[in-house]
Amino acid sequence: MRRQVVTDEEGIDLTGIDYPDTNGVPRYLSFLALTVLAANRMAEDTEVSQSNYFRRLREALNLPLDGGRPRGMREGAEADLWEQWCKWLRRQGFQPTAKEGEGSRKYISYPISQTLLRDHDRKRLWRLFHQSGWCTPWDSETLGGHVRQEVAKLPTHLRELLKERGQRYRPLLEAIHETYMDWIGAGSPAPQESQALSRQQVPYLYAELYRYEDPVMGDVDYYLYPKRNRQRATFTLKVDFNGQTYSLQEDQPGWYCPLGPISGAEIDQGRQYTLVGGSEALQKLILPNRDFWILVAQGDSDTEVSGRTPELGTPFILCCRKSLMGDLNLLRQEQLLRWEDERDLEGVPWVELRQCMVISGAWRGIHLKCKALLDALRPSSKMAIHLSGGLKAPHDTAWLAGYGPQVSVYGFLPKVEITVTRLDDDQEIHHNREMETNGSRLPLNWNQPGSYLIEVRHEGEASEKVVRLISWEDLQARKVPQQDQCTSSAGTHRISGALIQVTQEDVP
Amino acid sequence: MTEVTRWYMGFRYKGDPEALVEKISPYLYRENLTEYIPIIRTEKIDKKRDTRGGECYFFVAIESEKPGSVPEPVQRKLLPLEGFKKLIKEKPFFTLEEIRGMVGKSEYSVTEYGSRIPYRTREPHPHFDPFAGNGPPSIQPENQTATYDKLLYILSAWGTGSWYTFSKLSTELGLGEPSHIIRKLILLGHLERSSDGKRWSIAPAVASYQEDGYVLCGQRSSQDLLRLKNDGIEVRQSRHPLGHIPTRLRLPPQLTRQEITSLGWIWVEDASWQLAQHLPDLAGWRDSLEPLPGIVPSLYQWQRWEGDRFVDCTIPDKTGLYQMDSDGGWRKTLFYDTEAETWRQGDWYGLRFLALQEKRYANYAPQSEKLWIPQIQRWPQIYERALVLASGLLPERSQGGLVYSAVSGKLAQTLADKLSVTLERSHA
Repeated sequence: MRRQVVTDEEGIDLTGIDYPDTNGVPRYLSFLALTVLAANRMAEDTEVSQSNYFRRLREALNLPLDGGRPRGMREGAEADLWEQWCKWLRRQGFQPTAKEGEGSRKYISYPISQTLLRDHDRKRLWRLFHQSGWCTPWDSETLGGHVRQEVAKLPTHLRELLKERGQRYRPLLEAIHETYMDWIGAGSPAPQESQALSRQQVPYLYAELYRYEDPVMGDVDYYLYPKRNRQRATFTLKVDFNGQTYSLQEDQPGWYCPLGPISGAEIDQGRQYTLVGGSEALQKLILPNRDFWILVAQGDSDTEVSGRTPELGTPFILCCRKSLMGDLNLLRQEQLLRWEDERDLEGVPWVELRQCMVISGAWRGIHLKCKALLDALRPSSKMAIHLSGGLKAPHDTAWLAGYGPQVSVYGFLPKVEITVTRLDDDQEIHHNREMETNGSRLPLNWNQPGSYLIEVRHEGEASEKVVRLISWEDLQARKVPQQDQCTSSAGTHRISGALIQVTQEDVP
Repeated sequence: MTEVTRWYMGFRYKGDPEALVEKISPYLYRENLTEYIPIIRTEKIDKKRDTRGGECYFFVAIESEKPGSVPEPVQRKLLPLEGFKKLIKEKPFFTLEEIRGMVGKSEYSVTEYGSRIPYRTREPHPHFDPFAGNGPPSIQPENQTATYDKLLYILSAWGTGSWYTFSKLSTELGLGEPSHIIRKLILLGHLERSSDGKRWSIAPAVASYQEDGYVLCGQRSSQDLLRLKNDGIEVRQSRHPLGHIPTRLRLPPQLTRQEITSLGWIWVEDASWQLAQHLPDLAGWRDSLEPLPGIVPSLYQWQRWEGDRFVDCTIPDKTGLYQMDSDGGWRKTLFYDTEAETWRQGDWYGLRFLALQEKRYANYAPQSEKLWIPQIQRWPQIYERALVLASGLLPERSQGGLVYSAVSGKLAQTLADKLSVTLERSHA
């Protein structure tokens, strides 16, 4: 990268990288990554300034450290690249998060917005973990609750991120948790200012909850839903579950297949399950001991999972200790939260509140005994774009042309301005200055494959979503692993469609 | 942002406080006071039990930095109004608990301000019985072969899923009752279902060799056709006249096993015969059906199959086919085996076949290689699959029965023997 952009000892030239290569991959990506690295290395928040940032950028480019913006990098040149990058991401169906700032931070905000945790933030987090003696291996949600209580001890950048509670909130909690795992993996040490923090082997996997309700009998079962960690295991992980060993099979990206069912007591107390047969570094699968779980419907399935934030206007299930009912009844009486049905969990003081929905945005003056519950339920935005129905390709990556989703907007605003743009040719295909929220649907024709940007605005609030449509020709057949195949049995033979095979004993 | 808290100001009012609130609401919006006032609670007056001379309470929720601290706009714009003159001065602020203490047994209604999201519940999962029979033949508005092809493509891409996923995919495509569709796909060798009906998976891509060509079953994508075309291989495509199954694809019989394999299909010599050979007899099939434990008969309403219809019965006490209805509105069809005291679930026609009391028979025409089975004696699905795979076509309806094509005498006899069916022969 340095060879590509650095022209002489003082200057750089970005004209050679501001277009995609022959494979359509942006050439400027490495340069943008370098700017993020520079932002990541910036020190104290008080020094978040152009001079601090450009000093770090110069350092990364091997240029003399003083002199501010490198020669040849005209003001705003990086903004063009960032906007191209955002556009490229949207075309691939992703939602970009890089944003322009204000005033003197107008351009440097782009790379800063891409650094969730900078080195400095990580060190401060280590210090907080150490001073607080947080050696219990909490999951990200529980840790997030504790960190929020101590937010005053954190740098401004991190404080602002924690306050934001938008779409980056969950990735932020994950990043804080990774830092926590690094600290635990390093033996929970006191941080040294000069110490470079290194990645550690994470000894734990964490499980969320997976819920299935039999549509006929109405029986509810809860399962462990193990989350993959950043170290992709190259071997098959096995877990000792109720005295038997099970292999953890891959499910959708980021997750292993559900394991269970589990008992109410396991939900009540949390539990650690031993991982066997893998690397020594991975020791336990942890079901956290939490006071409540929020479960949302999982895409186009009849199951609910925890670990996701319910969208505004979407009903969800709250499974919680009965001791929280005082707080929850207060929310109901203050007309903030509503639910329809309460069911006890068998044998434990827990209850399931079904068809829960946040119905008001007036949470400002509300205080609960359980602050984590308040944080989890309080809406973080005034409106949300809903995509429902349509025909989805597996793993929610895209819809099929001709069968796109229904688009509606839910929120605390009666009307919003909405625009839909086809990103392939930047053509606006729908615009409505006064679309009604909470029920009306956009009359869209989803016949042409491509990526579409849906933007919603109202008095300074904005929200966007990308819909990607693929053609039927792009739909790939998926190889079904043997253990997932349904079969009919005929004595010693197994039947699968038109294939008849001799049954073989499953190899454990 | 400054932290605020919610508290209540209490007022006395003589008259109907709800009428007051109705009158004041547009004013609160107009003067932007809803930012400070999210809710007003009004006591409902019970005239029969009134001991306060028609006076009642109402409470205005306030959001401010601390309880008792009235925001300046509220002080200036709301409190001077006539209806807000009688402030309960003994207590400068109330909590929700304290309000309850004030109104005693009276109820109060709540008026909310600011935009809200109308409460809605998640639509219940549409429940279709995965084992339901076909019912009467439905008349499709148009030939839907292309849509069925799409269904097969998307099922191939998903690979596997729950019964709910299958129902959702077929419903989104605008096709009919999911249980009818899955039955057809299973008969054609495209799909397999778990024994409890809760899951499905696409069947492996198989080329079944028949004398007049290979029938392609199982997983399929639109790229397969393109690839075959690019390789210069003739693909014979035929559409069902009623258009309610995917296109039948056949490859020329001259292709060798090696060529079939290199094209990506599993070579199978006459899948129909392979299947027929390995199927158990009727008792063996019955025992392989998924038992359904834990049924408490007294909790449901029951009907028993009496040869041509279900008839009400109190408690199931004989071996046979039963329909179980719950108070929740769902229905299941089950086979009860009194000897084993076991409830079994499986495909509707198969369970009905098990419950047959009369002689089982079928008619075979060796010259045309057609097998006729009375509609009322439709075979269990897995045996019917062996018949369907012989041609890659679903049966046609004729003279109160179902006619299967390209069925060899050997195949017909083997299956009939296993099911204890008397095979009559005709020359038609």
